[in-house]
Amino acid sequence: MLQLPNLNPLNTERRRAIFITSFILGVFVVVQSRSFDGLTQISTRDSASNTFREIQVLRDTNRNLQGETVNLQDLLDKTKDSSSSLKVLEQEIKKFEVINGNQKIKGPGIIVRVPDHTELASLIDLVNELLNTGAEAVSVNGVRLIGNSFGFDAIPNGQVLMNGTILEPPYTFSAIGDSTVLENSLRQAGGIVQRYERKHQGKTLKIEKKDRIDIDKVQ
Amino acid sequence: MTMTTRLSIIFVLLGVTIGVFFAAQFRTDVPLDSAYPADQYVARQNLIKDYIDEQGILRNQIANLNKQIDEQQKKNEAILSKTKLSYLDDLKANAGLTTITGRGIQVDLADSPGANRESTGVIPEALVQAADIRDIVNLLRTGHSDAISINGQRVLATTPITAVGGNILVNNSYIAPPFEIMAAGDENFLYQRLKDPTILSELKKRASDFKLQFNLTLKSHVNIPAYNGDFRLKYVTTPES
Repeated sequence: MLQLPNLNPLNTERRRAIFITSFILGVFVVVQSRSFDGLTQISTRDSASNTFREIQVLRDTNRNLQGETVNLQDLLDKTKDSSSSLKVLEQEIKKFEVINGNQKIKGPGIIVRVPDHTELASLIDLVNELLNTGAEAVSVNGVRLIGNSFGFDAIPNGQVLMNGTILEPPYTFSAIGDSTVLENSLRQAGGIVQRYERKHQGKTLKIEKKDRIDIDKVQ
Repeated sequence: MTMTTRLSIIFVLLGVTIGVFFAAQFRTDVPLDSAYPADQYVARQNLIKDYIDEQGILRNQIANLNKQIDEQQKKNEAILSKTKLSYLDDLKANAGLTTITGRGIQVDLADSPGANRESTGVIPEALVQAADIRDIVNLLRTGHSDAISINGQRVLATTPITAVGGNILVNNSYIAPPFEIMAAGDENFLYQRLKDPTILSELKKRASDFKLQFNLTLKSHVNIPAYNGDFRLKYVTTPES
């Protein structure tokens, strides 16, 4: 049979200690929980990063910009030369037709499938992640993302509208670029695949590397 | 077992539990680089500043070279097809290589007053996040904006808007708060879209709860600068090539 504690001052002190300890414990539970809530809602929409990554991004960007200045200087020199200026003009036209989606394009890359209806933020973040990891062209369900014509919009029945086209799941993202870099970046610890799966229990992003991806020109 | 022994066990368990929570609390990853010794921090900041300065110079060079190429092509009109030159101008404009002016909207975003991005104690809700800017840009796109810029960086279809450490990069260029997003287009339509209470609800809640700055201004004149970065075409080709 359970013995009732004596109501002496020592037991009262113990009860008080238990109460205070429990209270502190409760505070920690709440603080910890709120801390994770905040991270889940906002910060986790971007990959965890570090100083190394920060420096690497800047270094690569500057290297690309330096490359662009060399290309443009070469272009300027050739444009000044009357014997090559017409050829350069035609090359420029073709280059910008490719950039603007006026030409059908191909290249290696990856296909990412989002299996089911999902909130807009995941679609926005996935496109951003593909671009951030070096995708040179991206299409969603066959529609190439060009200029400012695209934007994901939710319509009442849960469907997604993009530039006048209703997108039905599965959402298939085709990205042309270095397929290994693209895949590894998406799959890295803390990357978008992990974040998506953490947010959508039981669902996963399916990634497939391809030697050739074709993207139609913009209609 | 006496009540005293039981109480002792409860105390031990509670102590262990609190210890675990302490440990969990301090092991929570804060999404800011802040745990570096002062000298490493200064070295990092200096290195980043050097890269940013270099980037500014390179972007100016690119803008100047693009301008010189345009001028040279105009000079070649006698030997080049005017139709082709005009077509190329249109293509470049569509690609974001021209300044766009006109009516539009300005979206101002800033961290909560007093929130310091470099501080370890800052809570994410008090800061403008890259995801906030992405959501606004997405919304401006659905509102058929003609052109968008963020702190003077032209936004293209291929522009990533990302968080690196406590910083935000647009076109892989650093941008610092306050953030000024400009969009050319139907300013009233864009305003209504952004004001819609069902849209950007989380950002609006943080603006209310954490005093995050989120303001909209209709503009009779916006100036969206030309893109001054590189175009990546290493892997993309056309089927016939």
